[in-house]
Amino acid sequence: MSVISVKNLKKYYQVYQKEPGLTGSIKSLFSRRYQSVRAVDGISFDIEPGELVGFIGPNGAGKTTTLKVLSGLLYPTSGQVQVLGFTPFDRKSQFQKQFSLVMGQKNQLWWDLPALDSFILNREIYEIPPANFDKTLKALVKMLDLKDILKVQVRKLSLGQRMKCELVAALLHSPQVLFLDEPTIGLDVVMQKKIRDFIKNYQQKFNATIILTSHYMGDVRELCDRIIVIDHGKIFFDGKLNTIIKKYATHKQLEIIFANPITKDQIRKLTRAKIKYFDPPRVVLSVKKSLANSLAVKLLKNFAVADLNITEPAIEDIIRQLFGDRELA
Amino acid sequence: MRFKTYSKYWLKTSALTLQSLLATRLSSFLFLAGKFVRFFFFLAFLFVLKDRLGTIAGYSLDQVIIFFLVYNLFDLFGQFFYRGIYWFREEIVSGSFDFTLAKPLNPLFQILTAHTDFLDLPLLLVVIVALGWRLNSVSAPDLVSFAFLSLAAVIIVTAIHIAVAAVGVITTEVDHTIWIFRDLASMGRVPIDIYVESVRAFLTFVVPIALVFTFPAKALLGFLTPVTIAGVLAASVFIWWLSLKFWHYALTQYSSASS
Amino acid sequence: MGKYLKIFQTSLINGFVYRLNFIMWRVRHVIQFLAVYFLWLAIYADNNQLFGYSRAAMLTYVIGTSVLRSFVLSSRSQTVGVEIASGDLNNYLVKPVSYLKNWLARDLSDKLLNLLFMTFELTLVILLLRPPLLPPASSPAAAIFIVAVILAMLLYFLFSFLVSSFAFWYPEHNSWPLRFFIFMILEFLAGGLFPLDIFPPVVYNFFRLLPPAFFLFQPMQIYLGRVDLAGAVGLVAANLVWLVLLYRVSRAVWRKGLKIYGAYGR
Repeated sequence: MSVISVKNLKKYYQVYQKEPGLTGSIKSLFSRRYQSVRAVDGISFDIEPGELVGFIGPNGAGKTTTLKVLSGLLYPTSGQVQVLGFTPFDRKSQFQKQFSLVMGQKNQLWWDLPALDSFILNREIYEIPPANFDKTLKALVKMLDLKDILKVQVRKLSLGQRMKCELVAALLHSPQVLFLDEPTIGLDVVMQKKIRDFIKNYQQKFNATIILTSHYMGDVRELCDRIIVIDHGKIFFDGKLNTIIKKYATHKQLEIIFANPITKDQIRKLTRAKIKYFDPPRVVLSVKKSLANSLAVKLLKNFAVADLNITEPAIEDIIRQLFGDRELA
Repeated sequence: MRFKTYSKYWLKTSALTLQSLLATRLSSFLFLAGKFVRFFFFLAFLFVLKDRLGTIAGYSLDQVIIFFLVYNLFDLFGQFFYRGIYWFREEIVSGSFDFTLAKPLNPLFQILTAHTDFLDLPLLLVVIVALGWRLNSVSAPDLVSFAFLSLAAVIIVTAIHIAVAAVGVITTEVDHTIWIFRDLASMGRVPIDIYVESVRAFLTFVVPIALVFTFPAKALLGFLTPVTIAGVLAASVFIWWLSLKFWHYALTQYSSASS
Repeated sequence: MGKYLKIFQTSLINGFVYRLNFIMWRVRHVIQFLAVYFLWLAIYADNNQLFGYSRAAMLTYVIGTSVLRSFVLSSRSQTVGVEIASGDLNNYLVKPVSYLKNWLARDLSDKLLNLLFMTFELTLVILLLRPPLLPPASSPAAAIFIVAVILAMLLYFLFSFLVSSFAFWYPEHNSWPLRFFIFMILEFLAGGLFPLDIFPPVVYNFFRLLPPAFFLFQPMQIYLGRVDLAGAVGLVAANLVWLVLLYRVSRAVWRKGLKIYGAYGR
């Protein structure tokens, strides 16, 4: 049985629009025009126990809205949603004790107090038996290397430290289902890696079901076997990460290590393929899928080549190609 | 009802709030002093009136002072226990209400009680002592009806705070709504019988200010019939039910702060 | 001058954007007025003369102070405290504008909005309640009254600015606690709930010359002709003295505050 099941989910909002300037302001004082925004517009998917699924799509695609519906925060305009056999919006305590929501841009910790105080408050709220609480906290603190900062005021922590504490607060009740909305946003590369490793570890150790949205394709590439691409509130793609690459990659990459010195002109004379990287002896070309093999043959014929590789493009490139210049989030 | 969990949560958050009040002691002192100034200036005004005036709307000034004390009792009750409502807008706008909703504890309980305001406690004690003084000369039946009407008042005050929170969920506007309620409530500093008919009707049937502030005081003075008392109790239960309905409707309209 | 005109205009637009905010604030204003008005109506139910005020004079006083409240006590300069506490003040300090004048311009735009709404509300109140309104005692009194109101606006502006300046030293809770405390005192000492001269003479003589008395109470005394013309001119002079004094003090405090602000490097 699937842990999460979503059928034809829709969530529409009313948004008010104002014309600029004083006249617009005075007008809006008396009458306002509202516009319906289709944040989520009929999506369906099922997620099995232990899956780690990545939601990707441009800003405003509907990813966060979907997570909020799954958490029971938002009332769906229409459609059926089941998480762990519950209807999320009923917000039954038994349901709430089995999942957790982490939002990278928001915090649930008490700002003026040490994180430990918030943890203890959560112990009461989730009715975690003290023995379990101590055990889980100890394990989490060890995994995230937090020992020294538990008693420091949250406002004095760095962003990365705070994010780690947020994760602890969210995991104290050992949830089976985890919704992570931008868990690595704003963090430096080292910290991103640490959080990523932690999520992976946690998932393997507890066989948790996780949905993750992220700005950083690195998160998705390293963590998720399955991705769901959402755009304009609709599912654009749902499947294995490498399937999307096969399906949507129009180009392949040729990576060549030349044996002799080479100039850009020499390559241009031979092919119209785009030069993506040029630092002899290493050169990377991007070429249409169908022409990749023949170009490889041509190159081998015309130049002394030390090494040649034909690879799929990076997931970042594909996504960029799909959504143009719109910012990913 | 998981009474133990709820009381533990209340004690814990109250302790946390008390800690931060003690940490900002000058601010706490100023708040405290401001509340006392407001209370004693109005009391002084009533005493000045007492000097020159026999009665207002048929009440002696001593009776009017009882009304003022009862008003403070329930006004301070709301502020002491439900101070969280004044923080609610910030919670909605910043999105931390999302976390509140996701937790296995009644969200209304979390919102309203999370910031128990101990700064209202000293004045609350002063008011209770002053009323207690007066209670010596009150008959037992009047005391019983006062107890019933206090229960109704507490239920209605809670219901009003729930309704304000519901408006907050729908419009993200909280502060003005609660302040308008407080302004209307301040009309209950004196017995509402002094107002003209239409205002009195408004304060009794539209916004139940009279039920919260004036009726318990009347009960104390022995002016109420059992029928009225039963009526007020029934009304309070109805208002309570209505506010919960409204709250559940508001949650279906919640749109969450965008990230 | 031009840039302050622009600030005035932008602030006006802003007022419309937060329409709910603004309307709610006006609603509160009306409720507060009605509470006081009906209280006095009840007090005068069986009497026509109390505390040296006739019924008409007292109701005119109540309506008058309520109108004045919209102009005099409507300063938004409480936001100054918030900006100091949050560090948003930096945005202004790097720009070639005078912070004081910036706020004066914003205040004036606010007062214009209040004037619009006040006119509407006052018409409604007069039509619905039909209160016995008294005209100004005499035309010279009316002229001095207007001068007194303008001075009162400036005086409250400086006063409020000064209160906000203490945020440099106590930024806790956006400097709201001090303002709350001061405002609680002000509610009474300005004469918003009742005229100050109902107090015993000893108390009254002390309160009547403090700055708050000039916000609402004294202008209405001039309007009602409860002070003679010489006395009215004297009151205006006293107001001017306070104005100069508060200006000096608030400037000095502001300068001192800026040094502390810089030293903390917030």
